[in-house]
Amino acid sequence: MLKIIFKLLFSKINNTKSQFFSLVMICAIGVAMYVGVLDVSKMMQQNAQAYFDKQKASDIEVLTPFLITDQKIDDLIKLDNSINYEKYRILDVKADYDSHEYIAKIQTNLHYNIPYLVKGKQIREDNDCYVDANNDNLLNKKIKINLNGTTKQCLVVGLVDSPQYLSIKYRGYSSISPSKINLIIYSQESYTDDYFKNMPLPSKYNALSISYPNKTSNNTFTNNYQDFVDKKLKIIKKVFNEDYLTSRFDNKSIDAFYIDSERIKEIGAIFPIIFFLVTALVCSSAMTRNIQDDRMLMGTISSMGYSNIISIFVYFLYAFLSTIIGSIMGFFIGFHLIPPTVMKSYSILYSLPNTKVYYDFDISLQALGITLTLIIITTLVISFKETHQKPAQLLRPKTPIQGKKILIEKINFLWKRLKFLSKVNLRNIFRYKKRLLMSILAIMGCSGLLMTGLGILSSVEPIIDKQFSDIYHYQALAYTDSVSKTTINDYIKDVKKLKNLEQVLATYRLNGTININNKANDITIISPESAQQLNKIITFNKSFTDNSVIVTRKIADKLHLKSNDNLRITYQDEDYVIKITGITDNYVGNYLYINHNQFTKSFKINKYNTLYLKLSNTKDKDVLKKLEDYSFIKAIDDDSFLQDIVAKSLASINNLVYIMIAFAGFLVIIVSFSLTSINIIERKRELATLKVLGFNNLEVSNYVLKENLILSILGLSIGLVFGTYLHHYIMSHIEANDIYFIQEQPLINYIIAFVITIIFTLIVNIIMKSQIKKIDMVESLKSIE
Amino acid sequence: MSYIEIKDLKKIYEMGSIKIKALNGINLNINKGELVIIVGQSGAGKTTLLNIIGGMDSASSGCLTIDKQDITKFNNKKLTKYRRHDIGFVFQFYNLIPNITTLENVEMAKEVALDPFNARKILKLVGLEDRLNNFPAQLSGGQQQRVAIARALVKNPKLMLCDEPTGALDFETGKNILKILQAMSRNLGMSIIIITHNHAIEAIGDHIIHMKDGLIYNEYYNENPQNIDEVEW
Repeated sequence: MLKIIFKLLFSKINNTKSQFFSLVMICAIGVAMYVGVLDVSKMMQQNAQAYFDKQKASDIEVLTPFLITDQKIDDLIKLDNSINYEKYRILDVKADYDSHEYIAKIQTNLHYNIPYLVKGKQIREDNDCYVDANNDNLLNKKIKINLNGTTKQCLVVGLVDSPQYLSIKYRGYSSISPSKINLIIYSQESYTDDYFKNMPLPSKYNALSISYPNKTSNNTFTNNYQDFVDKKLKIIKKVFNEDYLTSRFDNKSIDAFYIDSERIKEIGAIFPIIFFLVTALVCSSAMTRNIQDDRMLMGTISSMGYSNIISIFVYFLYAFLSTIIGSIMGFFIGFHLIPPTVMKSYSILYSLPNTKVYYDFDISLQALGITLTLIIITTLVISFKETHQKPAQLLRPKTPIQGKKILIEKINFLWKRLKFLSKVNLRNIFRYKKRLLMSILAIMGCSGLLMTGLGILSSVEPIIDKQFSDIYHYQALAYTDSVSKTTINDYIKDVKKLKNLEQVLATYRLNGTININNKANDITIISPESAQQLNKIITFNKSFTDNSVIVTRKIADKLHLKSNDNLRITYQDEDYVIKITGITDNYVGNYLYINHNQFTKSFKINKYNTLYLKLSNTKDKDVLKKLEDYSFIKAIDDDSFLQDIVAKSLASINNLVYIMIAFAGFLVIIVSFSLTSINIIERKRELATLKVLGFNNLEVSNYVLKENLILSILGLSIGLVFGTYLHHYIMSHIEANDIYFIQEQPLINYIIAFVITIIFTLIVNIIMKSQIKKIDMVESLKSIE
Repeated sequence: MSYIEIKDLKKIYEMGSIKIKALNGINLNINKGELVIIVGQSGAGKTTLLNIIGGMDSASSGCLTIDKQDITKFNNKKLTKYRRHDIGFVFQFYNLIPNITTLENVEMAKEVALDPFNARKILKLVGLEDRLNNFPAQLSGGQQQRVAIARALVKNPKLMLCDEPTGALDFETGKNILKILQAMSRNLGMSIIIITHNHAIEAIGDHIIHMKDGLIYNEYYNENPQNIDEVEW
C-alpha cells in the first residue's frame, strides 16, 4: 500500500514540477518574511543580551562623588545578601595623543562589564591600557593622560567594546569639561593609584558594579527584569542615597538600543502578516487547481478498486511535502537574511560584537503551523469533494462553469459600444468568481505592501531636513546652573563678545514625563525668556507669543489634544496640569513650549538654565570650542550630534523597508505568475479551440492575458487605497518612539507602485505568452472516447 | 489537377524508442464541392489525416496540396492563416466557448475571417434563429453541434472538416446534423470531409474512402448519393 502511495506521489511531483516548485517558492517567501521581519527586534535584543551575559554586564551601577566604603557595602549586604559586586575606580580625565585632546574617562573594572577585546593584546604591564574600538589610530600608541595634575603615559595595547557603552556615539558628559566624553580608557587599578594617593584608607573606590545572580528574568528587555531592578534600586537607595545610581535602562545607550529595536518591531509588525495571508491564499488556490486538474488520476485509482483514501493521502503528502520544504527554506532565508541585514545597518550606532543568528522556535512553529493548517485543510476539503464523485464522473473532465450574462450587459448603451472581444473578456472575468476574488485580493495585498513600503520610506526620508532645517534654526545648546534673569543676561553679554554668534536666547529647560497609554513618555519643557526671539530659533505653525503654550504634534496626536485642552505633566514626582493654546509640527522629540509667565506660575520656577545658540556661519563651529572656557557653561550640546544619531537610526529603518519592498515586488511576480498559469491550464481547451479557428498567437494571448491585466489593475487600484490606509495605520500607531513620522503619501508613491505592479504583470504576461504558444491543439482537443 | 492532392503522406509518432505509424503513405485526390466520407475503425488514422488536412498537425513526410498550395511546407504562421481563412472545423464534442452565446460563438469565428457570411443568416440556416442569446450549456447536444457547424460555415471556408460530428448524438439528431451538412454541400457547393466509423453514412457521400492501419484500402464514388432521410442504421 505504502509503495503505491509513494509511487503515485513521486510521479505526481514529477509531472507537476513547475507547480510544485512555485508552491514551494511561494511558501518559502511567505515564511521567510514572517519569521524574518517578526524576529528582527527579538534577535537584536537576543544578541545584546548574549553580549551582556558574556561580558557580565552589571545590573546596577553606583557612582559617587565620594568613596565607596566597606561600611556601606556591609550595610547593603545586610539589607540584601543576594548581591555580587565589584568596587572599581572611574575618573574623568583629559588625554592627548599627537596634540589632539580627548575628553576621556578612565575606568578599572575587571569582573563586570568586562571589556571585549576587538583588536590587539591583553593588558600585561602596569602602563598598558585599552581604548574603545572606534579609535583605531591609537592602537600601539602611547597616549598622555592628565591625572590629577600630573601627566602619565599609557600604551594602548588593545581596542575594546563594552556593554556599558553600547552606543558608539553616546559616552555621556564629563565633570571636567562642557564637551561630551569621546574616549574611554580601561586600565589596571594600580595605574590610577596616584589619583587616590591622598584619600583615607582602607577604601579607594568611587564606583560599584552590582549584579544579581538570581534574577526573576535574565532578559534585560522584559518587564519582569525591569520590575526586579526597580525593586532593587529602592533597596540600594537606602544605603547610597546621595549617590548616582544607574540601571541598564538609565544607561542611555542601552535605552536607545531598546527604543530602536522596538521601533523596528512596530514598523514591521503588520507587513509579514499580510504577506503571509497573500501567500496562503495563492498556495491554497494553486493546490485546488492542482487537484482538480488531476481527476483522471483519482478516477483511475478508485476505478481500480482502491479506496479514495489513497488519492487523498497522496494529495495530503504532496501538500505536506511542498509546505515543509518551502517552510524550511523560508526559515533559513528569513532568519539569515532579514535580521542580520538590519543589525548590520544598526552597527553604525551600536557596537555589538559577534552577532549571531538565533533561530526562534516559537515564530517558526507559528509560521509552519499556519501554513500547514491552511494548505492541508484546503487540500483535504478539495480532495474529499472531488473523490466523492463516481470514478466514471472523475474520468471525464470537469464540466466548465456555465456562461452567464453579467451586470454590465444590462447597461445597454455601454455594452453596445464595447468591441466584441472586450465583451468576451469582461464576461470571462466575471465568469470565474473565485479566481476573480483571489486575483484581486492577491494583487491588492502585494501592491498594498509595496505602497506601504514606499510610504514608510517617504515618512522617514524627509524627517531630518524638516526638523533640522525647516524647524530648528539653532546649532547648539549651552547649559548653565539655574540662575536669575539678571545673571543669565550677564552671561549672555559675556558670550556675545565672541564672534559668529548671531543670537543667544535664555530659556529654562526641564525634563518631565507624560502618561500615554499607561507608559511614561519623556517630554522636554522649554520656557523662553523672550517669546519673540524664540520664533527666530524655532519655527512654529503659528508664531509663539507671550501667551502661548504649545505642545508638539506627536503628543497632541497620541492624547487627542486640541487647543484649550489640559495636559498633565509629571516632574519630580509631582503632577502639573497645564492648559495648552496650540499644537506645532515637530518630528524629533516631544516638547512643550510655554511662555515664561505661565511657566513661573505653574512650576514656581523663575530662573534660566539653558542658552540656545544660533551661529551666523553655521559651518564654523570654533565658537563652541571657545565657549568651553567660560566657567559658567557646564555642558554644550552640538545639535549636529543629535542630527547624526537620528539620521543613522532612520537609515537603519530604511534598510528593513528595502527588503520588504523587494519581497513585495517578488511576491507580485510569483502571485501573478501562478494565478495566470492556473487560468491558462484551466482553459486549455478553450484556447486550443481559438487556435483551430485561426486566431494567431497574439490574438489568443490577448484573449486571456487581457483579463489578467484588467484583474491586476482592479486589484492594484484597491491595493493603492489599502496601502494608503495600512501605511497611515502603521505610522500613527508607532509607540516606542520620540519620532513623529510623516503620514501623508506623496503622489509619486502611487505612480511608482502602479508602474511597478503593471510592469511585473506585463513581464508575467510575456512569459505566459510562450506557454500559450505551446498549447497543442491536437493534444488539448483530443476527444474523450 | 484536383482541388486536394495528397501524395505519400506519412505521420510517424516517436515515443521514446517506439515508432507508431499513424499514417503509412496516403495517396488521395479530392475535387472541389465533393462531400467526402472517410470511414474506419478507431486507430485507423482518419483523425490524424483530418488534422493534417486542417493544418492542426504536421506530416512527417509527403505532400498535401490544397488549391495549388503545398501546406506541408507551411510554417506555423502560414498554417494559422490557412486555418483562419480556408478551414472550418466541426468536432465530436462541439468545443464551443462556454462563456459566450450562440450568436457570439459564431461571431467569434467571423471576427477573424476574410469574407464571412452574416452570422444570423447562417444560424437561421441551421435552424437556430430562436436560440441566438442562449449559452452553450442551455442547448441540447444537437443544437450545440449546429452552432459548431454554423461557426465553421460562417467563415466561408474553402473546406469543412468534420470529426465524428454525430458521434455524441442520438440517431434522429445525428441525421439532422448530416442533413444540414449534405444541404450545404449541395446548395452552397462547399467541399466537406466527414470522418466516421459508421458505414451507414457512406450512402450520402459523393466520394467514399475506407481507412485501416494508416492506409486507404478502398475508395469509390457514389453516382447518386442518397438523401439522408432514406438512410437507416
